[in-house]
Amino acid sequence: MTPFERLKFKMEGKEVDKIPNLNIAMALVAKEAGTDYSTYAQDYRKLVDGNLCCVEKYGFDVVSAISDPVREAAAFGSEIVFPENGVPYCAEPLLKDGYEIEKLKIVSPYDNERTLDRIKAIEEFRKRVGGEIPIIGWVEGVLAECADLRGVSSLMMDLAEEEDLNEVMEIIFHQQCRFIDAQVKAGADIIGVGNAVASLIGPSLYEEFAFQYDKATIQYIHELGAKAKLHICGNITPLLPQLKMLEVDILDFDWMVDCQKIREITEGSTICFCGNIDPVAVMLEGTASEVEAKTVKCIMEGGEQYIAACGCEVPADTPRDNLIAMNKVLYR
Amino acid sequence: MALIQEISELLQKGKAKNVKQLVQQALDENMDPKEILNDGLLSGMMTIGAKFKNNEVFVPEVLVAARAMNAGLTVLEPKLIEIGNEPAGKAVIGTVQGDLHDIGKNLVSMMLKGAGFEIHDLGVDVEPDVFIDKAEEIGADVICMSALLTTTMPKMQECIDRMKQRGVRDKYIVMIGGAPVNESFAQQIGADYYTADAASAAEVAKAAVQKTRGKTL
Ligand code: B12
Repeated sequence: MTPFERLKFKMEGKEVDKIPNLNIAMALVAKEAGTDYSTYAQDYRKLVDGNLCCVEKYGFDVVSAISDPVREAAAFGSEIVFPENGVPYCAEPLLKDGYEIEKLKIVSPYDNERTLDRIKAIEEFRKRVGGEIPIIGWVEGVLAECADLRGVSSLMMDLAEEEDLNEVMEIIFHQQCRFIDAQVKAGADIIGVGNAVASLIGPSLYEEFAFQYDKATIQYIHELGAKAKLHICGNITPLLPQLKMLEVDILDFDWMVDCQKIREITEGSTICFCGNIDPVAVMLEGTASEVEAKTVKCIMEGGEQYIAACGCEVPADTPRDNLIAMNKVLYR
Repeated sequence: MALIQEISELLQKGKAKNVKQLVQQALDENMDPKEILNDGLLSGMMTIGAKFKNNEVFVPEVLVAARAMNAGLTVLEPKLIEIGNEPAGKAVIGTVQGDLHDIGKNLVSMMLKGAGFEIHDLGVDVEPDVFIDKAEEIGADVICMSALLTTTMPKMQECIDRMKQRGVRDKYIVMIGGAPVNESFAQQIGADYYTADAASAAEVAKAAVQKTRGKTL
């Protein structure tokens, strides 16, 4: 089976020769591409090369146009800092003084360097491995993008005070749809939605401020004929009943979420769930046999809808033997 | 008494303005500042901390409660200094070099404050020697380091190594935390304590200071 068939079959609930390996790698990809993080985040050719190395060496079953969460923030007009060997971030939140909507630039994803670079990565993936290896494009979830623009702590307090965020969120949602559209047109089979900040808020604020946008984002991805993957790192246990209702195709879960619990809650749905090997305590610091044992445990507990990955990004300094050990046990 | 209870409850709801007003009112009614602190502000913050630990409230609620506590403290602090209230201990806290995550660190800082500590918050991106310099300067009991990135965790080790080189390791209780940090990492780098959440951090810090003070007295 090709990785493409493998993941497709898995999502259709059919028999597969190997549980797909959907590890998320960024710093590791830069390293494999023989470059620094800053270059990897700004030059799609490096991103593509590094991803293909990971497929080759560690058996990853996807290639992914992921690198940092601030591509959209850049397009909205934020100033971005590119540390040589670190993840790009916003110099300061564009909306730090409040929701001054007029500060947001509304541009086509093709007209900003950073969003265009992601689109080009996907086109390049399609040229080189399209139809053979699933291609994942990425957008920030609406709430996460709001946090990128406003600053996380400020947004948190705004949520607690139930400020009216409708206008800014509508603008963000509209822009995210344009970006999704461009990535699917370029060749993305799956769109990953990164909504890390959702794990910081409880079910009631999630319901009020995030649920409808996550739902609409996923619906939009489906309308374009692509699959949706939701990535919320951190502890999403309290949100699971709501996340089930999103009708997402792949739900990532981090190491602090119980595998059996997620299986119980998603029972009766077609959601595949993807996780939750601890990226630090097991992958980075553990031995190859510990990685193997944890992977087997996940497979046993996860059952038919389980897809293998670390709970969050695989650290760059992960011993190579650990990555290989994980991949080996995924074959039936 | 009812007033104090009300301060605690409003604090838990994050009502900064009201908390400030009521603390002022309590002072005007000649209530004991220590009682306002302990049974009003700190008890409210501890309750929120416990609820956070149990997933009953989440980051937004804790941040607004913390803001309300700070608002109350601005009114109360001058009075506390006047009567010479002894802090439970002195702590230096910060997020390690290269790391800008401060939400967790701020919560730990608030909970320590809530446990009666005098806090010196160095902010984010703090170099190893800066932790030590500050601790030396103020005569700290505890040094708290936070890291959220696997790439910045080694800075904690660096700080502990620097403490050893400078011959001051034994003077301080070193506590570490942040999502990727765990107990085995703490042991490996020779930190004294790790806790997974802010409420436990405050309890552990308080107990640890009492223990070492017991030893030295
Ligand atoms: C908010 C956030 C941000 C915000 C930070 C805003 C701020 N002012 O803090 C912003 C957008 C700036 C940001 C930037 C980055 N982030 Co970030 N971020 C997060 C996020 C969503 C939440 C972290 C958080 O605040 N948690 C809530 C607090 C309450 O939890 P906590 O910090 O763990 O603290 C608790 C305990 O750990 C403990 N504790 C904490 N400190 C201490 C200290 C002591 C002494 C003790 C005892 C206890 C203790 O008590 C706290 C309360 O109970 C996480 C993902 C997630 N959902 O977890 C990613 C995450 C941590 N970020 C990540 C990354 C990669 C980055 C970036 C490199 C790239 C990026 N832009 O995303 C940059 C790095 C910038 C830099 N140089 O630091 C990764 C880290 C991967 C890793 N483990 O290495 C994560 C896991 C997400 C991901 N996979 O992409 N991020």
